[in-house]
This record gives sequence, C-alpha cells and structure tokens, in this order.
Amino acid sequence: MSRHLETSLNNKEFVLNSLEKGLRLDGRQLSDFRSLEIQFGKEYGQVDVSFGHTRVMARITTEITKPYTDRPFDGIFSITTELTPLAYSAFEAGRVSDQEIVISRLIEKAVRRSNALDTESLCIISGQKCWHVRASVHFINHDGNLVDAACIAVIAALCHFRRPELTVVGEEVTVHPVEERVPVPLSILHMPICVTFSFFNNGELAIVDATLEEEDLCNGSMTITLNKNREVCQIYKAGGIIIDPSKIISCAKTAFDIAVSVCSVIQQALDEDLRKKETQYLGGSAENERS
Amino acid sequence: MSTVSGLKRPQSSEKNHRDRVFVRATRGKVQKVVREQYLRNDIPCQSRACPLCRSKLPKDSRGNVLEPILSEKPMFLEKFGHHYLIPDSNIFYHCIDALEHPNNFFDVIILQTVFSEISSKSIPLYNRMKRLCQEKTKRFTPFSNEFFVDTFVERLDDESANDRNDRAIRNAASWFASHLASLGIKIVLLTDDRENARLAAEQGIQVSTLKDYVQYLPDSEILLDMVSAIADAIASKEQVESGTKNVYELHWSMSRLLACIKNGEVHKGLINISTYNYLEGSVVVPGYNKPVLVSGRENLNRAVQGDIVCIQILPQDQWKTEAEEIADDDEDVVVSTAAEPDSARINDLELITKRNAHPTAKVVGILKRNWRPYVGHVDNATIAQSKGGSQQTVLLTPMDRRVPKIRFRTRQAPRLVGRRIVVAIDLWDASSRYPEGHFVRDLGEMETKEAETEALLLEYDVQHRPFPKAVLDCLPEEGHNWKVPADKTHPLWKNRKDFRDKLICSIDPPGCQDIDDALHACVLPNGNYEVGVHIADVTHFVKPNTSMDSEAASRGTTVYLVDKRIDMLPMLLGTDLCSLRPYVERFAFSCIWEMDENANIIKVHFTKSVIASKEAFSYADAQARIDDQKMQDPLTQGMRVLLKLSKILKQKRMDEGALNLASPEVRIQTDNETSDPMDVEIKQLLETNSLVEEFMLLANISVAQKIYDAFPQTAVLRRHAAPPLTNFDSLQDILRVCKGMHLKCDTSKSLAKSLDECVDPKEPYFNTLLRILTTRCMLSAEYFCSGTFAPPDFRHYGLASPIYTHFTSPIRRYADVLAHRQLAAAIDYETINPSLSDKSRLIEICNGINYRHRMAQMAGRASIEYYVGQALKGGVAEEDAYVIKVFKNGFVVFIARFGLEGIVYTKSLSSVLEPNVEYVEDEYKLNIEIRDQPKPQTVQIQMFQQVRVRVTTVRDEHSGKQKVQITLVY
Repeated sequence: MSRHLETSLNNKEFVLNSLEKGLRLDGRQLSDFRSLEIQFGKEYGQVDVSFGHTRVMARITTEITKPYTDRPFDGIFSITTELTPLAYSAFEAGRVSDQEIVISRLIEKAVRRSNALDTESLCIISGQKCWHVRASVHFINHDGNLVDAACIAVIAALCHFRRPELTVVGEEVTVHPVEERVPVPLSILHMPICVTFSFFNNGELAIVDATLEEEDLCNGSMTITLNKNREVCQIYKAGGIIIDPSKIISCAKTAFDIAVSVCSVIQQALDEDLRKKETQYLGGSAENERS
Repeated sequence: MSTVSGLKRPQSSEKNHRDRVFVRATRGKVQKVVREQYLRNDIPCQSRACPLCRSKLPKDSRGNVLEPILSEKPMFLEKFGHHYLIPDSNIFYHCIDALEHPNNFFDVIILQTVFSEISSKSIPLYNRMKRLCQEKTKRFTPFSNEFFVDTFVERLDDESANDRNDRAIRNAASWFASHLASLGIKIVLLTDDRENARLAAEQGIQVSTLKDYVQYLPDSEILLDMVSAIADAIASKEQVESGTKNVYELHWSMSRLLACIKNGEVHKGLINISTYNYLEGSVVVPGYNKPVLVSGRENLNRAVQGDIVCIQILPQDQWKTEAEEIADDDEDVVVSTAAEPDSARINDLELITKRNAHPTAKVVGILKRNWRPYVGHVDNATIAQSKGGSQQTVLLTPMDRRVPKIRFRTRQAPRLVGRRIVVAIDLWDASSRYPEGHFVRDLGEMETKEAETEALLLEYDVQHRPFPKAVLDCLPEEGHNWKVPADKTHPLWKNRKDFRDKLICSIDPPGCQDIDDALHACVLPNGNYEVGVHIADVTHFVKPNTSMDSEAASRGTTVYLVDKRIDMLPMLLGTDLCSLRPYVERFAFSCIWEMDENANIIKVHFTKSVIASKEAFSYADAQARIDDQKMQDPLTQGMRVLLKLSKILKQKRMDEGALNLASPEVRIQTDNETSDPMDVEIKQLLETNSLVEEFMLLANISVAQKIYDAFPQTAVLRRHAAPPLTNFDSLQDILRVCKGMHLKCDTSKSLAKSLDECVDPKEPYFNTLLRILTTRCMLSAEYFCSGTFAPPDFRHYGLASPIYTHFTSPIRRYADVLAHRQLAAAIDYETINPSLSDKSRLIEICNGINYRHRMAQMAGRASIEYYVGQALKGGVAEEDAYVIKVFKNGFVVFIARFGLEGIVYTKSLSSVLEPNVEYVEDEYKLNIEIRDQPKPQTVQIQMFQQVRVRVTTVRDEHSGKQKVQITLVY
C-alpha cells in the first residue's frame, strides 16, 4: 500500500496546539461544518457535493430486475462506492482498502439499512419484477470527511431522482419514456445525515468535519447518523480511544444541530433545482381548480 | 485500542474455562475449531432481597450502581409462596401475549438459554422479550445462566440440544431456588413440557404448567382465554400446515377451459360483483335472458370484479334468486350466509316455486385477470402495534366495495394506520382465503381532501398525471399571445369564413373557463332565421398523430370533480386558445342552419370560421337578459329567437319519444374562505339550459348525418340501444304490487308517455323516483364506428334520434375531436388523415373513450358523494327519503335533497333487542317488529314508501373513517 506523506512534526504540533486552544487552521469553530455546496446535474439523480476541498459525486440509476427470492415484496437498493487515486494519491486502484470497506459499510448502514428509501414501493410485480435503484458514489477529491460527504450526496441524489412512470396490465409492464410521461420521485421516508467527530487529546476534544490533516492526527473518530426527527440511525465507532458516554450524548446533540442545517441546505438546493427543471413542464398540470 | 473489563481467570481454577474442540470439514478441507468459553462468577441474581449479590451489581457510566430488578417481596400465592417465575422457551414462544399482560406476571427471570432459543426461532418475538425486560413495571430480568459458573451445563454425549437446554433451564432454576431459599423467596418453573416438569420435580423445583399457574391468579378468566386461545391457534395452525387445505376449488387448466367453452359445457364472460354484496356476482352469458348469478365465496372461486371468467351452470335445483341480504362490512355475517345452508337456502327453495330463480353458476376458471392497483386502507384490527418495524401480514380494505380484502406483507404497518394506500394484487392461491398483494404507495392521511381526491382519481383510473414535455412541445410557440392572423391572405385564413361581425355569445355554467360552444341567431331577409352554432376549433391545434393527440385520446375526456377539473388538453388550449372567450377572435367550426318559423331546417351548412364572441353569459345571466323586456339590443333579440326555436325543437323531440330521465344533480356550496363544503342543494334548471342543450343536440345530429354520408364505414357516432324488455321485469313487478301501475316499455315513445302517466297525487316525488329507477334499467350510450353496426342500430334511444354523434365539446371530449376531423374532411376543408379511416383503429379508440367516459362519470359522482359526506360531517340532519330497494335485513333509501343513496339495516333500528323482521318478498315489504320497551311497535317498510331518516356521520371504529350513517326515524 502506497503511503502518503505524514505530517511533519512541526505541523503536527502546531495543529494540535491550536486545536487545544479551540482554533482550526481554516478558521472554523470546533463544531462547525465547512460550508456545503450542492449542485445537481442536468439529469435527475445526479449530484455534486462539495465542502472545502472534499468533493463527492453521486448518481442514481434504475433498472428493472427480479427481486430477491426471500424478499419478493421489496425492490432492491444498492450503493457502490469506490476509492480511486483520483481522489487521493494514497488510494490504490483495483485494491479494496480497509478505509473503503469502512466507508461503504457506513453509507450502507446509514442510508440503506435505516430504510431511508422505501423499498416496498419499488415492487412492481411481487416475486417477478422490481426496481433496482443503484447509487454510485464517486470520490473526486479527498480533504477529509468522505463519509459525511458521501452520505449527503446519496441522500440528495435520491431525493432528486425521478424514475420513469410505469403501467402494469396483468403481467405486462410498460415503461414510459420521460418525454411521454412525467417521471415520478422515489418514496424517501427520511433523510439520514452522517456527522463524523474526530477526537483529540485523548477524547477531551471533539471536532466536527475534520480535514484530511486533522483526520491524520486524530486519536479516534465516531460517526453518528441521525435525521431531523431526532432519530439516531447508527453510531459507529471502531477502535480508537475510549470515549465517555456523556461525551457521546453531547456529540449526538451537536450532530442533531448539524443534521438540521445540512437537511435545510439539501432541501433548498433541491427546491431550487427542481423549480428550474420543472419550467419545462409549465402549464402542464392536468389538475386545475374549478372556479 | 479496546478495553474489555472482564474477570481474570484464576490460574488454578479449571472450572472457569471450557475448551471445546471440534473438527469441521468443508469442501474437503478439515478445520479444527477451538471454542473457549470463559465463565464468570460475578453475575448477580438481580433480586432486591439478596445481600450476597449486592457487590456484583453492574455500574452505569457515572459509576452508580444499577438497582436490582426483581422485587424483594414478590407475588404471594398460597400454593407457591412468594415467588419468582422462570418460564421455559415454549411458554414465551406461544403465550407471550399473556406474559405481556400489564396487570399480571411480575418478577420474571428470562434465562439466556431461553433468549437464544427464541432468537433462533423468531426475531420479532425476541424483540418483544427484550422490550419486556426494559419495561420497569413488569420487572422482567435476563439472566446469563450460560456464562455463570454455577449454572453452566455441558452437553452430554448422547444428549440432544433441546434436552441440554431443558437441563440448563432446570439447573438455573434449581440454583435460584437454593440461592434464594434463605430469603424466603421461591422459584416457580413454568413449562408445558411434561417430561421437563417431571425431571424438575425430581430435582425438587416447584414446577407448574402455565394454565395451572394462571388459575391461581386474580385475572384468571381473561388470562385463561388468552392462554387457551393461543394454544388453539397453534393447534389449528399446525393443522393447516400439516395438510394445506384448499379454501377454493382448483381452477381448470387452460386447455380444458378452452375445450369446454367450445363444446358449451362452460361459458365465458365478464364478472360483475354486486355493490351490495361482494360475495355475489353476475355474468351476462348469451343464451340466458337473465344475468347468470354466481353466489358465495366458494362459487366465486377467487374471481375479482372485472375478470373474464369461465362459469359452469349449476343444476336447476341449486338456482337462487338475487341476494336478499346486504352484506354488512362485518365479515362474519357474510361468512355465515355463504358457508351454511341455513334458512336462506331453505327460503330459496320455496321461492323458486313462486318466482323463477336466476340461473346460477360457479366459476371454474379465469381467462383474464382484471387486477389493477387498489386503493384502500389497512384494517386496523390486523395490525400488531407491538411488532414495531418488523414485517407483518395485514389486510387492506379496498374502497371499492366489490373487491375482496387484500393480504399483503409490510414492514411499515404501524405507519400505515389511518392512511390511504395503494396495493396491487399479485396472486390468489387456492389455499389462501384472500388475494395476496404488495404495497405500492401511500397517498396521504385518510379523510384529507388531497388523499381522497387522489384515491378517487386512481380508483376510477382517471389519467391525472401532468402533461409530459412531448405534449407541451406540440403547443403553439406564441403561447398565450397567439392571435388570429390579422392579414386575411394568411394561409390560416384559407377556407375560413369571417363571422367576426355576427352577434355571437356563449352561455355556460357560471365560472366556466373552457367554453366549447357559442351561438347566434338573426332574421334573414326572407323572413326565415339563420341560426349558428360555433364550436371551438380544437383540431386546428391538435393535429392527428402527434403526442398531444395520442395523449388526448388516452385521456378521452375531461373529468369534472366538485372542486377540480382534470383536463384532456393542456390549459393553454383548453381555457385560452381554443376556448371561445368573449371579446377575442377565435377559430371556430360553425354549423349554420336556415330555419323557418316552425324550426324546420331548410338548409344546413358547415364551415371553419373566425368568430369574436360578444359576451359570455352564465345560464342565469342569459335568462335574466332574455326576461328583461327593457333590453332590446340585437344580441338579446337574437337570444330570444334562439329560445323560441329551442322550445319548438324540444317539443318536436318530445313528440318523437325522447325520454326525460334527468336525475337530480346536486350542487355543493362551499365556504368561500376555506372551500370546505357547507351545504348541498339540488341544481336548478333554467330555460337557457335547455336552449343550449337543444341546439347542441341539433348540431350533433346534423353533423352525424353529414359524416355518416361522407364515411359510411368509419364515421364516429354515438348510439343508445333500446333496453331489453326483461330489464324492466322487476321494476314492473314492483310497480304492479306497490302502486298498481304499469309501464309500457316497448318503444321509447310509449315509455315516455307511460312515465308521464305514472303519477301518484299523494306523493309528488314518486314520478321523479320512478324516472331514476327507470334510468337504471337502461343501457348506457356508447361511441362506435359506423361500420360495426347496421344503420337501424345507430338509433339513440334516449334522444329518439335515428343518428347521433358528439361534436360540440371538443375541448373536453376526444370523440368530438374525431368528429371534427371527419367533418372537416367531409366538407373538403382538408384531406382525411389515414388514421381516421382505419376502422380497426377507430374501434379501438371508441372502446377506449367509452371506458374513460364511464369512469369519468363515476369519478364525478364519487366526488359529489365525498363532498356530501363532508358537508354532513358533524351535523345531524333529518330528511325525507324514499325506499328504492328492499332486502331481508335492510333497505336502501334515496335522499332527494342530497341525491344520496344509503342502506338502512334493520338491526340498526334498535340498540337493545334485535328487531324481528318479516320479509314479505312478494310485496317488497318488511314488517319490522321493534321489541324495545317501553313501547314495542311494528314498522312497515315498502318500496317507494316515504320515510323520515336521520343522517349522521359516524367514525367507523374498524377503519377509523368517517361514514355516512342513515337511521330510520319512526
């Protein structure tokens, strides 16, 4: 495994000392998220999420397949993530690193296992046909906190995506092209947001949204996934230093505030883009008030 | 770095540590597996009374000791003393409901052995047990007996896993018993396993079966029910599992069906389920003059409304009359009538001798399913709240009363309570009582306007999706700025007449935006009248074989709901460019007649034109203007001419034998601010309504003749077949018995005449009622392609016209668009598009628009019904109503003021004693004997009788839905 350059001792000391004083290199508070930018692509379900130098793209695609035999009433939802040298030179192409497994597991748990996407509504004919919704996540640039970025990207893309309309007559399924029928949104039950905390100073200090440098220097990290209904979907902490339970509670509270603001940024970006996209359907509403 | 604080193994003691070594072979490889198990000696017993275990209690994150769970003074029973309970796995597995009872079963120890056995059997059950342990009041505690030095047991060589677990449970129980002995607390081991109980007794453990134990409890009766009900359920479930009993007969194979259809042994047809009783259907089969009945769950054999089924006629002695009972929502009632051949069947036998029974059949196969996604709500009773997010099977009660409940599995059941949802049927096995489906989507909370409207649109298959891009691309680029070209040499003016100076006006319902038609009339120099009907020139904008054309064809018609309009064409066309709005120039398709004083047509002429409507009136405004003698301007005078001629036309039509069957239309008054429905009133019809109607009819008839002459094979026409006389049989009989009257139904003319004569001076509403019932005996009108019927069958029965089409509303009906194109070709305005002379394609389109038309009508009615219900919400109204159908256990009333129909069950007449009901079939009469004190009385209910009813809305406990309830006031 190719290694990246380790931070110099001088640098390390400087970063740690300033963190102890509550200062970060980019001028943020300890519990500040970098400013989030969300851009949607031309097509539905394409999203480009960036904060700081971290940049992640996600794209949703669908196809019709046969459901799993043990879940005939459910559609399939899968997320693929791949770390390539494109994002960071330390990532190697064609080899699955531990970090990659951790990231993909985290996203999987955060979005798929928390039932953010209602898979039951993806069933077309039970046991025979269902939608397979695929989210592919591409990491464009790595400056720390890939997990949070990927989670935001997947959720935003899911909310943005529109699948083609269907008609089912008996066993026969007709998929209508987007030009012929206005495509329909997926049924999203809630928006899980990941917030990753990095710990310094033996757990005394917790910072949010660490940059790559900070990630390298931290003693341990913990990811909390929650939604704006205050429901915690997962708390992930693998190894690292011991954290006091009360610290976890206070982290969860911080995470909630961040999740709310992230959700509103996503929602705003979504509304704006969909409004723009829907101009092509202006005057197309068939349901009109009777005066 | 992870830290696990555990017990260090004392070097000397071998007892704390078990090694298990076994060899596993996988794909030819042999693997040695070593499993080490470390045992602890610091597991507390969790009893508050126990001083020994105090030091072993775990601590929370702040270092505070967690209090033990089991009470120091547990329940006392004479037989067992103060005791804690240790149930075995099977008790949890089968009777967890009883253990969850909030007022019984406290201080229970759940052994780890039990936990692991349950978790391997059922995860939801395991979760319920975990939840029980978290409930403070119940004092259930887990105990890790498998990790505890004193209670761990090793599996013996010749011992099965189950036996080992039982032994582990017994060991733990006996450890607890001795551990707590000095404190005066006993242990009771609950097990239903006899062998286990015997061995436990030998070990000196107090043991009991759950049933025996429950008997000593104060609430024993309730608990016994729970325990035994569950035990029975298990028994019956096992029975079902052991020999999968089919609920239904198997369907015949397709080849057998086809062969039997050929030799006439079975008949195929579309099954129609009764709206009053979903366990009764009928199939129209050629060769039988009455629809063939299919009655009961077994005979219906999994057929669902609209399926194409194969039926086999039953022997004549099993023939039945139409259902005399209304199927209640309550399942049980229906089941009993279907299952047992009780009095109903015996009655039938008598009846057959008296009245001729319907041919009766059973379904033996289904050729084509008509399944679609069904809207409904989840039956609350089938949802287990406690199951949380785990998957469970629930039943959907569909909105359509004719459709059986649908079973589906979902993980979000608790979230679906009180929601309108869509479920699709996937299959229906012979072994399953209900069809099985899957969840499609959630429409929203029940009783909200949005969800109910959406539900209604889906249920009637109304295409309400937004217009896609491809359709919007067909609209003129200028958008709302589109104008008739000023330059008359412009190609669009070619073959168009300039009628901009004619005094044209439109008359429509108030607030109408999609104005299809406008009229004018003036006196010609020769003393005759010139009358013009101008129809929006939709086909100028909607060209054949474009996306917009096919979209309009698939929508078929605009659907009018109480508060909404689901357009067939995009707004830009419907309410602006095509709409014949006043004061602007619009393209039109005009039909100009020259008429004499007696409204005889002297000449008719069709042309594309440009008009400029001078005014858009509402019916009331137009009426006022005509009636106002001060108004003498040419426009008003023209309208007076129109009115005069329309009256003559109407009279002529009536003389021809046109039927006046108009059912009362209700109007919903809404609150201006909230648009909540406030009140319901019957629509008033003015002379101007009939003015417009007459000229539209005239235009339609003239156009029909013209396009039929031009395209004898492919003209799109509309026919209304004469109803078969047998349709009137039951109505005739009712009339004869109840009123001593008779209808002459052989022609529409004689029917119209005898309808006029059937008047009951005592009951002025009777005639209207009769007209409503007569309408129900008729067939519905349909679009068709002229080549598919012989000219005598073109006749429109209701309008008494030999030929008819729809031409006057192209903005909201697709049939009119076709007629426009054909007429344009017939007058050589343009060449005919090949799609309009392709007979098979036209037949297909006609079938489509017939279906859409029917659905639109039903959706409109359902919308009114919903709003009437909403208007009645919370209030209590007493209204006059009329009996229009009598069943054995109830009757149907029609409430004129609301245009509402409802069922009154006889059992609802009294809340105390169920009334005795005598059903006099021959006289369509119920004698209901109300036995309530203080004043028992008999109420008679007969067809056509006027009754007083109380209309209220009640919340249906079952579905959580508001329901209109009608009760008799006597």
